[in-house]
Amino acid sequence: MNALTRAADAAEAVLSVTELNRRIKERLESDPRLLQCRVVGEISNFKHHPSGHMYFTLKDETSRIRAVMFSSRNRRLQFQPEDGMRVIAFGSVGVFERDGQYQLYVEDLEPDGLGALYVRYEQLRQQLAAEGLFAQERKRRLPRFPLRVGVVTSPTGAVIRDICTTIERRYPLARVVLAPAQVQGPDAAPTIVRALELLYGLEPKVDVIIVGRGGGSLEELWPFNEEMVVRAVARSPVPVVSAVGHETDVTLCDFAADVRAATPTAAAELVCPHQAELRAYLEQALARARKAAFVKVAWWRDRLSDLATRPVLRDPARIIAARRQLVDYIETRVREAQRRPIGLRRRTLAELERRLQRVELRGAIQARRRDLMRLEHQLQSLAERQVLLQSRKLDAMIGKLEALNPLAVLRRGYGVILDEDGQSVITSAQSLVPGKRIGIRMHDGTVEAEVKARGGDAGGRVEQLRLDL
Amino acid sequence: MEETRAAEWNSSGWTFEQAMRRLEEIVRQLEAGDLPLDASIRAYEESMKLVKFCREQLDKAEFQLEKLGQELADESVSP
Repeated sequence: MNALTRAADAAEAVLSVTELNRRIKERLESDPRLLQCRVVGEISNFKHHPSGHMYFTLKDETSRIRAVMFSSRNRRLQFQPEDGMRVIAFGSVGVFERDGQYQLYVEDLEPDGLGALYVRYEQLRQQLAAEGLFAQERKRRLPRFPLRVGVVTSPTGAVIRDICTTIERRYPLARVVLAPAQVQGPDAAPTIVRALELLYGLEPKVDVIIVGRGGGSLEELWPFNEEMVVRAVARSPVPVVSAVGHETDVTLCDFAADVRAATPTAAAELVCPHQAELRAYLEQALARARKAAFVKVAWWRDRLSDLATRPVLRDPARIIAARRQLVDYIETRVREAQRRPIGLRRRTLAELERRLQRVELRGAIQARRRDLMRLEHQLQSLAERQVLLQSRKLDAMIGKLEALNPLAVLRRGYGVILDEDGQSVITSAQSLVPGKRIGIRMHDGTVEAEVKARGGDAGGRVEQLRLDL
Repeated sequence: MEETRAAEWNSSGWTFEQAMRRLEEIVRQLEAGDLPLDASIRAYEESMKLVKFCREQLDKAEFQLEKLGQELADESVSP
């Protein structure tokens, strides 16, 4: 026996998947406990489809269920669902037959408990911050000496009392103008906005506004997180001090205000100076003003004494002295100018004379020098020529002398007959008588001889002489 | 003539600053030395008056400051 045959035994037809899913669907959707139920859980796998539908999973520690929220439903949501957010979903369980999936069809969704307020707070904060409402550049300085301080708070609470006492004590000059408002409950926000608007339109104007209430739970402080209140604070024409709750409570109103005070009393201290501080400040300002005034006088005095001690003023004789000097100078020049023609001519003449002298002398000297040089040249060439001439003459004479040289004749064998003393030449045979002693001079020496006899002929030949050497 | 340019100074209706400016102008002219002699003598005379006037004004201002300071000090003795 198997299951199939048993099913057949049960006289049931075999079901298609579609038929099965439809049965499941009918069963689930007819259970009143699964209709219109509220489920708390954490969102995961959140997807906002372009069609506008939201698909996500709701889960707790041990289980999960798929959920869908159609665009027609989610359009009215006050917040943007996100993964990890704890929510309470309101809806019915149904089956998506195509996938055989049961899921929660969500009709409404709200953040769970305190988380819900926090989510709204956080989302509004981000939105307004993105708009620049909390920008640091928007923050204004508080007036130093306010005459009228506007206060938006409950007319009966401790807040207004604290503010009034503090201002009375510190700075009685300032008047407090109260614009009453409800500071908690669902209707509080519009009354706060109205009170603010009242102060904005007030004439004469308030110089600064304090918005405040005492401490409380997040819900109690909630009006100060409402968008309309935050925007109203942000558009204030005068600086706003926000003093909502205690130090640890930070509302969006605090972000939008120009200054945040931890408590209403602190706010009152911030908006006005303390009398004592003011007195001290006045003293200081006075001292500074006094000093500045004296410094100014001293400065002018310096300038004045600088001018008064300039040489022209200190020693007015200079005014004359300068002119006297000028007169002297001019006088000197005039005198010089008068003297100039004669002196100049005299100098010119002397100069000319000197130049003339130099010119003449120099010319003469040079001409003479040139003459001299020319003469020297002439002389020299003359002398040279003379020397040449003479030396030629000498040569010729030497030649002649050579020819006349008796020694040369003697060398050819002639002898010269000399007298006995060798003193004179005997040129005629007539003087030679036999026995006469004579000298015969040859070219290489002299001999003595004696004439023996004489030929008869005229022009007798010497060879005929018998020489007795 | 040169000296017509320099309006003669007299103490009535002149402020201290005007007098100082005039004095500076005169000193400059005297230093430049291009005023005619008689004009510069007059300028010198005027400058002496100006110095005297300015000095008096400063003395007066200082005295007033002292006096005011004294008055304030007297007042603030009793807070």
